[in-house]
Formats: sequence, C-alpha cells, structure tokens
Amino acid sequence: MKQRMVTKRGGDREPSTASVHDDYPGLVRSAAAGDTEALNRLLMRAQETAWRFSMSVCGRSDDAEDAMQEALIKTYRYVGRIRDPGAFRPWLYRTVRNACLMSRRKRAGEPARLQSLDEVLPGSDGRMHQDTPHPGKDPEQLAENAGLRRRLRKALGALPGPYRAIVFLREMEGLSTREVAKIMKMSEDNVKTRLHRARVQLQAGLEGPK
Amino acid sequence: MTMTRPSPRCRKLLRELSRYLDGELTPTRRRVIERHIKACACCGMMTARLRMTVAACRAVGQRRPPRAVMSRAADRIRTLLARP
Repeated sequence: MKQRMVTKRGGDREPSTASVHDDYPGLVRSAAAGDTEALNRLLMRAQETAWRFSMSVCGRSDDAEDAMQEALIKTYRYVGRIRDPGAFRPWLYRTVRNACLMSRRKRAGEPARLQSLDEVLPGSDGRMHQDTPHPGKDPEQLAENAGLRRRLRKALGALPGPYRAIVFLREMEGLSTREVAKIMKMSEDNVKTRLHRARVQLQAGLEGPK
Repeated sequence: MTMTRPSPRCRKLLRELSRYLDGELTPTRRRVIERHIKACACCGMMTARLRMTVAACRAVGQRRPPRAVMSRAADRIRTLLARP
C-alpha cells in the first residue's frame, strides 16, 4: 500500500496532528476503507499514544521512540485487518505495553535508572516540563499549578509500575475499567482495587513535602 | 477541621471511595457512603482529597509530545508511506 499525504487541494503536507478527541473507531474504519487522511491521523495518533504511554509508564525517551515505531508499523500493517474498530485502542495499548516490556527486557543487564517524570511529562503547553514564565497568566496560579504538577509527577514516579500503568490508562487516557483490565490482563475487580490504592498513594504524595 | 483517625468502619468505607467517586456503587451503597461522609469529618476530608487527586491526574493527561518528537513521528509516516 503506497500512499501519499495529500490535502484536498492536492498538495503534500505535514501529517495531521491528531486531536486527542479524534474518534479512534471512526479513524480505523475510514483508514481501512482507503481514506489516506484518516490513515495519516491514525498513524500520528497511534504514535502520540505510544509516546505518552511509554514516557509516563516506562520513562525512557529512547524506549518511547522504539514504542512509537512499533505502534506505527503494527497499526499500518493491521489497520485493514482489525475486525472490530472499537477494539483498536486496547489493542494499541497492549502493543505499546509489550514494546515497553521488550525494551525493558533488552536492558535487563543495564543498571536501573530511576526515571524522573519531571523530564518525561510535558507541561501544560505540551512541551517538556520547564517552569518558564507564561505571559498573560496569573503568576500565583501558575506557580501553584506548576507545583501541583511537579508533586504529581513525583508521586506518579513513586508508584509501582503496574499501578502507574493503571492510573495512566484510566485517569489520563480515559479508558474504561474493562479496557484497562484487558490491556493489563487482570480482572476488573483487580483494576479497581489497584486504582484505589494508587490514588491513595498519589494523594499521600501530593500532600507530602513540597 | 480537626482530623481524627479513621475508625474500622471508616476504613471499610474508605476502601469503596474510588468506586463511589467513579459512580460504580449500587444506589443503596452510594447512599450509605454519602450519609457517612456528610457525618464524618475525617471521611469527608478524605473524599475531598481523593477527588482532588483524581482531578489532578486527569488534568495532566492527554499531553502532546514535544515538537521535535512530533516531527520525527511525521517523518516516520512519510518514510513508511513512501515505501514501494
């Protein structure tokens, strides 16, 4: 399948920056039907998802690029074969999770590196975190928000990996308990229990020393 | 508000707090929790804090990768789609 990114006016252009509100099943259906615009958006969105997952849960930028590549190739290969477009999102997260696990196994011999979520979670502007001034915003509120983000990143980083993955999938990506259970290969009750424990730990972290 | 240590009954209810916040309890159970957190300062405070934690997590979600990462992602798509 050779396709080019073509606008309605016929010119080549940058692949679309997928909106976080894009409808995955709709994109999958359109891409499978040969809509190149939808395919571009889907491929970009799959990579964004892979980046967020691997940065938030695995926390290494080189792993994130590997996971993005994996998500891209697998989505491209399988988009025409996915029978249930609604199942795409859980499938994508499983693919990314497996890519992260494979990367971790490859690095099993390397010394452990305690990830700093400060360096992996971007700030409110979508850029990597840095406490730079934002013109036109209330400095006190910005400072408070930046402080909250910093504490949250620290608290997230202190969670056990599976808890962090559940918080990420459930709270940040908005997946249902059932979808998270499928991705994490555990019962829904187990997801709920772990999510509650993770929230309590996060709360303690947020209320800890600033 | 002075916080007291949660009683065994409070601890049992607190285990259901996430399900309460996520709207996953039966109406009967939800009413039990609601009555309790209104009457118990400790659990009321705990509920408010947990709710804030959940809101904070949701607020940091849905972030976009940095521009350089997005640019490399776009390059990868171009390369992939240009293959014969």
